[in-house]
Amino acid sequence: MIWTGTLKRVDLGAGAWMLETGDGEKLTLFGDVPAELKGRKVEVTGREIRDGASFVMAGPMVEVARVRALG
Amino acid sequence: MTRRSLIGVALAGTVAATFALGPDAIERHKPAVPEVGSAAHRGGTLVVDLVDGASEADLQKVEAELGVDLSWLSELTVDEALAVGEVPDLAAALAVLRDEALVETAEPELMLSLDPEELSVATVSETLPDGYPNDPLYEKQWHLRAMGAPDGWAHSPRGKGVVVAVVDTGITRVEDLEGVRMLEGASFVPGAKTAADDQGHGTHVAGTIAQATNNGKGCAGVAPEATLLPVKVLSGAGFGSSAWIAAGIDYAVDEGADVINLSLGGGYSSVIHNAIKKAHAKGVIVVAAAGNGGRRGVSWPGALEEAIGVSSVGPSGSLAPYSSYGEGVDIAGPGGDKTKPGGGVFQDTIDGRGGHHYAEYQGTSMATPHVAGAAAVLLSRGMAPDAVERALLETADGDGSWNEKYGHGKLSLTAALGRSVGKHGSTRFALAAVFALLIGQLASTNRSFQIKSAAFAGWVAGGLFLLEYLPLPDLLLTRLIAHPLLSWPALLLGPGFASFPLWLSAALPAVVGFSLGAFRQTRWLAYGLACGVGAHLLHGAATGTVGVSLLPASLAGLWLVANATVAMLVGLGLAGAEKLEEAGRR
Repeated sequence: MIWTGTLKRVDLGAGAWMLETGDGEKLTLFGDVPAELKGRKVEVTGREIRDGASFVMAGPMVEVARVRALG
Repeated sequence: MTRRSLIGVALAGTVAATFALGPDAIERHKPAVPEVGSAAHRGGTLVVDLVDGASEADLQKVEAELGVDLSWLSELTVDEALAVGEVPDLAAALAVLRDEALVETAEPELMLSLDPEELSVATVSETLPDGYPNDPLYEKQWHLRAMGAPDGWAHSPRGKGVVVAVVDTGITRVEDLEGVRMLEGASFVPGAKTAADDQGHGTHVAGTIAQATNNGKGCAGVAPEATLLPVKVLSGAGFGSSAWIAAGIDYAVDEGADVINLSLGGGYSSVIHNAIKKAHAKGVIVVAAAGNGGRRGVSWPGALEEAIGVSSVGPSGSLAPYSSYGEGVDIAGPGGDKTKPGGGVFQDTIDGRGGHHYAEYQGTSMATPHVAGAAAVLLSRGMAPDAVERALLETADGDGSWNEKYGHGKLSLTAALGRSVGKHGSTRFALAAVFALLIGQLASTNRSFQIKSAAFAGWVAGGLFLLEYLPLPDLLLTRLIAHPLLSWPALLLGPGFASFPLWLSAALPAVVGFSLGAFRQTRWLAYGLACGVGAHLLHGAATGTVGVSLLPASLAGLWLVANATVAMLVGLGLAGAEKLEEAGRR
């Protein structure tokens, strides 16, 4: 699946990457996320981990395959 | 009305008043557990929790039903019988197993995860404050003061003898965990051979529970004498699964954990639920984070009935902006709010570069171990696990009713400690002494017999509770004298022994009644013991402060009342014997 939104770093526990989508949904991202894209509009390709949960405990989880900057 | 019937009425009134003082059951606000097995018709990994002790043949039978190969999850969990296997249709497989007697529960494997990014850093160095503790960063630890940790250090064995399992990313013995009691633990993450932390989260959580305190280094912890059990269920790379977590919980119970800290959460998992149910049934206190969604909706397993769900407050005492809230929150703990300067939770943890640092974290993950540490302190003072849970929730700092942000209120170890010996000690002391005087009066025994036995009965039921308030050295002997006799097994052998039914029964008064009670010189001791045990059990039944293991909860109260009655009858018999012997000598 592909999601677009703003890449954010959230300060919870050890810190986590999140994608805030246009409709306000916050997805917790796991895997290789390029830190330099923080704050940018990005396109995330990956797999939603259904029925899952995250250590971050802040919303749906996505296992990231690729993150690409938009614009 | 005759004098005897007046005494009888007084006795009955005392018993009735004891029960009238008793609290109602704590009102819990937990959401309904979702239906399991609604998975779409897709393939995936299935986790099957077979009945405990299931054999290889049982596994093969289940494999035949499913038509796929299953393998035991880990050698460590064969007794707990967790198996996993790939199935082409998860929903169909769940339907097949629903009525299989060999299977306790089954579900698709959930993946839990965390982020491998570098930790936020807050290496700070401060001047040493005067007094206890002398840890230099204690000044930064507003969170310990907010929940009353100093009262725990001042008044208790500080968690000694209590095993707290940190089911997390593992624990690494960083500088400020040196000297802290820690078991070897185990890893349930494939590829991670030991329970060492490769992420930082678990070590930080462990520090809040039992960081070395007053050692002149770093930070302090809530229960520094407790024993940590590291259980690695979340990988440093970011993923875990419900199966690993369930196996980790089962393992922690098998290893003798008294408290399990779960600073993790997500969707509902019946495998994790089953493991927590088993832990709870064995008297293990399970504390779990409410989640960091910043909105209504508590994550699982924090929302479970069998877990204490913990929301998070910042230094101002109001709900942290990230904290989840709603049904499922039982209590609020200090988990930090870094929008305020210095508002996070400080502990020592690994720095991801082979070293360690004192890091400032925030999250309901951080609030949870404050509650787990407080539970360890209370358990180490001889309280039964259900009494500890009740004390934590009932004494939490709130307005007396439940609300969705703070549950029953904000954690207060200071207030909960009031439930351990002092408050109940004085009530039980008085109750037992009144019983001994009234029953002695009913049997017309002489005054000296009544006074001696009433004093002894008071100690048996309440301990010399005033010793708690004196600045005496914290020795086993002083603790034994300060505590009621029925708390001795817990003090000597560990909290798991607090609720053993044979000890919480009329057995000891009966045995002593027929031995020491047969002799005039020692009969007052046997009589005082019978009245003291009777009063303690009766008070425990009325207030819910005495838990009975091995019995269903519905029978525990009946057991206590029945045994209190037998103990009182033993006392009445001994008082009668005393009177007869007295009359015979005249």
